[in-house]
Amino acid sequence: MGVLLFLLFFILLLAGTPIAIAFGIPSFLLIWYGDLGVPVIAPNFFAGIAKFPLLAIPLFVLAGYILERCGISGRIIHFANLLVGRRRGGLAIVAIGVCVFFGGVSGSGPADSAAIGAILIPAMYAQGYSRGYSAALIAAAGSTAIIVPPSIALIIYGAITSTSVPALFAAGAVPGFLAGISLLLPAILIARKEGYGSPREGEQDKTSLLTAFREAFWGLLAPIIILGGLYGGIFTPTEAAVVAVFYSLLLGTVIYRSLTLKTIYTILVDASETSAVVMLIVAFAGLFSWAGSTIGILDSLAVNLMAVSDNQWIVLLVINLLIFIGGMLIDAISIFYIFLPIFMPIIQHFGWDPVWFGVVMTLNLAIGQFTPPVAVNLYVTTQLADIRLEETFRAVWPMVLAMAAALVVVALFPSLSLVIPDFFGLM
Amino acid sequence: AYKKEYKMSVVVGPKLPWGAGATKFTELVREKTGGRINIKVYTSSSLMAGKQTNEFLIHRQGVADFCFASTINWSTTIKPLNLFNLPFFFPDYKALDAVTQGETGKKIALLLKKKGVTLLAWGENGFREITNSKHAITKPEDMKGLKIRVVGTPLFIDTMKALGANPVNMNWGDAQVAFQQGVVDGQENPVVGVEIPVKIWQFHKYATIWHYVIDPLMLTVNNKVMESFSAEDQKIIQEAALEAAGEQLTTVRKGLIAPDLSALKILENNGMKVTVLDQAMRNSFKSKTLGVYQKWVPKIGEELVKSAEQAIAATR
Amino acid sequence: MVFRWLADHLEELLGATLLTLMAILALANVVTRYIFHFPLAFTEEIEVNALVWLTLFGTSMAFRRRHHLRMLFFQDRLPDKMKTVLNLGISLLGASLFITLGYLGYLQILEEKILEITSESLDLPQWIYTLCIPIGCALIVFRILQAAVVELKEKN
Ligand code: NA
Ligand code: NA
Repeated sequence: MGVLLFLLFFILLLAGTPIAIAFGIPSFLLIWYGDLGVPVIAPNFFAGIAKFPLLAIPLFVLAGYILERCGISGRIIHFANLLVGRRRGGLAIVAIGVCVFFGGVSGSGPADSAAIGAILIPAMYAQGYSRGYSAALIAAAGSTAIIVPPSIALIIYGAITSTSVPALFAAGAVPGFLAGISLLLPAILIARKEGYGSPREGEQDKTSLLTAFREAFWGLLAPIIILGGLYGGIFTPTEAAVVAVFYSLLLGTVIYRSLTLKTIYTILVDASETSAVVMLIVAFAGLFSWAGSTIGILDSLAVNLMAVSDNQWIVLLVINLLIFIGGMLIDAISIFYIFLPIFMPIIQHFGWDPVWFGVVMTLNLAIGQFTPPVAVNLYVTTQLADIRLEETFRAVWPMVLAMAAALVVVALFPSLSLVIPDFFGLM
Repeated sequence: AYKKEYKMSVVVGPKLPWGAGATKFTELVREKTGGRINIKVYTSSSLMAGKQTNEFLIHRQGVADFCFASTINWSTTIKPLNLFNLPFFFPDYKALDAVTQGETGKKIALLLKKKGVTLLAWGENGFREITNSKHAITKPEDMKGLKIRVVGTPLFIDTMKALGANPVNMNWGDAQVAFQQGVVDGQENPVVGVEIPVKIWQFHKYATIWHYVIDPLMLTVNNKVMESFSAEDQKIIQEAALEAAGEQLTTVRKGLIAPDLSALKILENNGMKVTVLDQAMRNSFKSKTLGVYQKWVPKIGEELVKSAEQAIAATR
Repeated sequence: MVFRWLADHLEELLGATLLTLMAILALANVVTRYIFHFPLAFTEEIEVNALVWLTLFGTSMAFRRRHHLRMLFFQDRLPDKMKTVLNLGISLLGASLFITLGYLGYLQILEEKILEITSESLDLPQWIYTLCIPIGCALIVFRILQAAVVELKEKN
């Protein structure tokens, strides 16, 4: 029965059903057929959305739209162009850097992708990058937000396994950085090959760097205010998001005077639609995986795969393949809930460090956030780029491979994860 | 006809004494019925997709056949359960036992029965004690302006506001980030049940043992499910519930009753400053919360509150 | 005239208003917390529940504007006629899904009213929040069917 419903999901997905509905229909059937109690559908749908951390999503989307349309993104592009524009793929490097940087603000991949993508995707497009490549890159780079602290995924891992969250946060720093670096290679190679991001001939810009900097200054300050507030322990991500909203509104109305009431209304409408499209998938995907894990479809699959070997490296490989396949289909948080109860005895059996394992699993799930067909970050960025999901496929696979390489390194060398928590005495 | 597998809901993880108590119950039932009744525990509010306050609703609807539940999580659905949320109402464990094991407990069981759920046994999460990162709390004024994370129930919000604190309702995952970032100053939870297992000293340096609210647990079964069992199996389930919940209750009280205060020692050994309030100090806090009583006693039911008060008075 | 505009843009107005409200409330929380040290944090309940309303209104407008995420890779390779039939089928499936959800939401409201369930922080009747499910689903079903009709007309 479970297999049939997964099949139904894929058929619906491939037929071109809106993704949220492709999740919704089999999950309703599963809840009904599996006798989970149909009354649970409405409250669980509601509860899947009404979560405090998710509140940051519409606010970051809104801030992004305001920053994008108040004219500041143009000024930032101008500045960035002067700074690294001569290099092919210069803006791609900037995009990765900013995403990892912003990952230190955001605990969620879609939120990071939304915040950065809203500003950088139009900018990259303006510099000749294809929309598919831009959406893929920002989705991939945005996934580092769940490894670089703070991270909602690591908090949930800590709660399920009773592992110290501060230790997990500290452990995520180096692997998160590594994951970002791993993306540089495919990003630059593709950009070179396709000739993205080089200034066109005859368009040599004569503006001085200082002038461009001065014009972009208030915009560049935005992430610094947000990050400073977060690292200074002043803001929660949601608060940082709302500060970003009003800061950018101030820019658009008082400093640049580029926003009219009508533009602001359009921004509000577009931001609520974009947020809703993402949240509806969150809600139905959550329901789908909730039903699947409650009925135990994925359990039995995992148990069978675990009986494979006594060698810990083979088991680790199998676990990671399983998480990767799972991550292609469902979201990180559900995977934690589905798989961790099965993995925990294995962690204990081999004496693995739960902090390191949490980072490995989260890094793997970060890859899943931009691996089609179910890729929350890609949904955000394709929405922002106004393209179809499949237009990102060609650019996204090299990035998946690159981050998979980073995953192998992090899995093989636990000390990469453990050095910082050890240093701060958090273990 | 018995179901192949029954579902049991618990809002916390399997490692806390509370979660372990639920597992113990299912093991006892499986063993004593020779596998006729097979219960699977769904931890961490997974049956309700994380929304703890929906637990009673899905229990009543038969989505969860069994629950090992806190009165707090059900109190937005069943108003009389707010009895246990009244601030500084229960002075000690003796008072609580007199209420749950006496007439008041029977009244609550009857009330639950009418709403579709059979109460099998009382367990415990413990007295909820406050911890924070700012300063030691010894008098009501120390609460002023502290941003305190509380679980989702309005009475807790009212109590904290009455004490001058700034309460916020958030789930535990969010709360940990908020503590980490210093945007939330404190929280309240049972010492053995929660604060020691989550290593609260990672976030907070000050603990005050003020016994402001007790958090009893109820081991329950959906009425229709219970009726579907044979008389013999009903008896087994009742006995297993009493055994598992009783054992769980003993576990969470360990180290908290003088002369054995080893649980508080654990907090101190991890660098926390522990302040223990005496009854006079508790009264000064309680007097600040009279408005809360005025607002909530009618909602809980005057009669139920009076019955509890009498039971408590009898233990003095 | 105004009514005509509302008929097409109701959710947009509602969504924009809600998002404004959420942002203002979140800002009020930040301001009161840092400047006045005044307890307001419990109002976060409204923001979190507004997110559900926002999701349903936004979903509705996304159906009218045909902005939902979908994989069109295979569909684009089908002949026009098959594509039309397929999309009609998808619209009907979507409508049934939201009719079911809306009805279950309605039942949930009845249950919440009988039990007099209140919210976690503000002690408001819970069904006030849940109301968004039947209302939102009704709007969504209407927009799905409206979009399907428009698409059929475009084809002919
Ligand atoms: Na992060
Ligand atoms: Na994926």
